[in-house]
Amino acid sequence: MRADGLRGHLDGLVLAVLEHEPLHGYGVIQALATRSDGTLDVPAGTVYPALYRLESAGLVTSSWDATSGRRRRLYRLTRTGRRSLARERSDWRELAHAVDSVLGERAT
Amino acid sequence: MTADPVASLARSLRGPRRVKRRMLREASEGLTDAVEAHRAVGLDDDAARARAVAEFGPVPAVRPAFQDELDRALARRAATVGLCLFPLVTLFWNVAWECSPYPTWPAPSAQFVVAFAASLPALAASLAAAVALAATYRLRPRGTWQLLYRRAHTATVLGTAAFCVAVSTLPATNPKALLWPPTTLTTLTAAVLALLAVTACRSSARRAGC
Repeated sequence: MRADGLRGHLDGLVLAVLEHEPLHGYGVIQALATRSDGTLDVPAGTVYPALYRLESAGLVTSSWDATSGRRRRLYRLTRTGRRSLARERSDWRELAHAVDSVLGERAT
Repeated sequence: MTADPVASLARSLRGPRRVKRRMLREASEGLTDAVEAHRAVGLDDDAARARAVAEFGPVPAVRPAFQDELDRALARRAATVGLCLFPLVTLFWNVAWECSPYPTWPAPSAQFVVAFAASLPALAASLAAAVALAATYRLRPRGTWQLLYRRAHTATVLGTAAFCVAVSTLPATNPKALLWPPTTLTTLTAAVLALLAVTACRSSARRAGC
């Protein structure tokens, strides 16, 4: 899926990949590619501002991690972030259902 | 040699330096991680770098995402300044006019009317700034919310101008009144606020290509 099709969903996608484990910026990008089997074509460069935005909004928090020899920021979901993710999921299901009922093939 | 997209972004982005540095540092670290990951699966240095840069995305495509965050940070800063205006006007009013050892009270009616009239736009600017500040914390501000935070600078500049007018009525009443330390402090704060508001506005205008 191309980047313009993802507009408006990137925040939810980033929250989703951080749901079960904290990740570095590049880890988030790899997780997006892995979990979508390479279908989501998110330019890596747009993920860093999204992480900053989510942190400013209090949905993720970051701490320094130096376990791999280089100091990098490790992002994890906050409680508010989990609530926001639940809302994103519910909104997405509603939208997907609505689009599918219009765009999906009907058995006639 | 593949061009460095982070260096191109650093040249073209406008906004608060601390936020810009923070996001670009993250991007640069991520790019290094990507190169290492591609090297680890057998690509040579040049190929690993070229693939990492391709994954990063073309600068014109990713730049708006960075610039949006800088705009939001700038609006947040301007709105915070604006939010401080009304409490400062009130402080100025009470401390400088009523407690100063230099006789300024009761104020002549002209100065009183000007100072009182100027405090109203400062109040309005503070309220607008509070709402604009709240708007910058919405993940995807749209419609009125977006309009509010895009106008945070204007509200702050107008509020600061009103505050400066209110402050100027004091030396107009008694020039010596400015020498009293609490009044000097309030006046200097007003000057700093005005400077910050104008800087934020200039930065915003430059970004818009005005």
